[in-house]
Amino acid sequence: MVPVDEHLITRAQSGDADAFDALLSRSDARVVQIVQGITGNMPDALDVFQNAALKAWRSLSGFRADSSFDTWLTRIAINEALSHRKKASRLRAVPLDDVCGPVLEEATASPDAGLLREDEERGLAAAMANLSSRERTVFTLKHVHDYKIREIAAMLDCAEGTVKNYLFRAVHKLRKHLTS
Amino acid sequence: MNCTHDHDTLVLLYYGELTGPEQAEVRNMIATCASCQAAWQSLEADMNVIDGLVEPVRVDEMDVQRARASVRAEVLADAATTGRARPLHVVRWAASVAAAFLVFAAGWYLGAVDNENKWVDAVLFDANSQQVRIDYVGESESESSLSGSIHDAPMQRELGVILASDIDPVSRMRAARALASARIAPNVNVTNVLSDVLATDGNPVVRLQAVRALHGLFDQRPLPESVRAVLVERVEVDPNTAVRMKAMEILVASEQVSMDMQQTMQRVGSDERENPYIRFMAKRSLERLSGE
Repeated sequence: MVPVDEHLITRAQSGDADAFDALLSRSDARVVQIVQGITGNMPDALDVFQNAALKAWRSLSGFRADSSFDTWLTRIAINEALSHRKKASRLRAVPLDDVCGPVLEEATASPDAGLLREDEERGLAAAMANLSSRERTVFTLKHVHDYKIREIAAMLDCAEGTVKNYLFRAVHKLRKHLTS
Repeated sequence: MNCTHDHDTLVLLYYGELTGPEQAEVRNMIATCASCQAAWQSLEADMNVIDGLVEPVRVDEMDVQRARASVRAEVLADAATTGRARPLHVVRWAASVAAAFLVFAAGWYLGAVDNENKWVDAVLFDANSQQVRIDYVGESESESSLSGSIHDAPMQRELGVILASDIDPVSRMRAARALASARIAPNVNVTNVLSDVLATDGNPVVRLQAVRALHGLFDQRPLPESVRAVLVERVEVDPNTAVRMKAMEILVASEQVSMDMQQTMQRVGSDERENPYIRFMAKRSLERLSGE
């Protein structure tokens, strides 16, 4: 951990809201991205981020420096997002189109290329939606955010072997979908 | 094509998760085995396609700033009500004074109860209004009662005292049942009392209500390590089937993976003398933990 972080954490632990805000500002956009991958839409992701940040603030005294603040906050946010998704899935099904969000076509692409890409994206979005929450989370953390497996294990509070299993299964399912 | 190599390792190679010697070994495997070479090329091609399709979600910086501003407002409000925004040494000093006062107050309070020789006659809870009424009986048969919302800290403390120390198991059971039926947020004091009661109370009905209350508190929330440890222990040793069953249900629902939990699930799942439903839950949990 860099000393600046340590200094900010100590200040935040003594109740300094500015220090906590500074810590949050280093991770916020990335945490929201990760959470969005789980909740499936941005408004929920922002809500979950707020709840997770408040939880982090309220339990900051219990934060030990055995992981970075970033990993710790991400872990809280993932747990929050997974339970949010569980609750939400009881109430309604998540539309497949919402899972990865709409991606704008490039202006230079031809209409056909755009449609083809859109089709592939829809296909992949459907394949992503078929992954379990954990598989999708692990895949997103690894493939999109490039975290190390040991960091993901720390975030999900599980063994590295379990993370590898989820990753293998996610990659296998997505590839199977591509070839089908 | 009699390749028996583990192609999952190729995924780890792709993501740069192998150590130097492991990487050299896998590269050698790709160079010398036609099947592995084909698998590697196919993986690279597929991952290139996936790479082009999976993009990080675009996050509007303004949205994030608004979210952070909202967090900041609550943090400041929190700090104002709890006094957290004061310098650390002042907080520590205040905490020491508060702790000393609490010890004094608790001693005085418990002493007062003993001196008056009152005991709990009934614990009544209305789930709709979330109101509790505790009736006491004195030595002279004079009655008194305490009423209030179960969401109030003093009422929760009173229920905790009954749970932890009342001689009558019916009162303890009712106190636990009130907490099990309440819609309260988890807090350290209630959680600690319930965990202790679950681990040590000799009455199975009281333990059952305590484990139900813990279920209510941590439904859809991550379990603290202390609670998880008590639940794992109960699954293994509690003589009451209903308590073991409930503890197992909470652990399985939590989906929190740990070495001791896996070992417990393996032991319980293969124990022929165990209740079939509990064995089934243990096996299902193991399947989930191993990602089946």
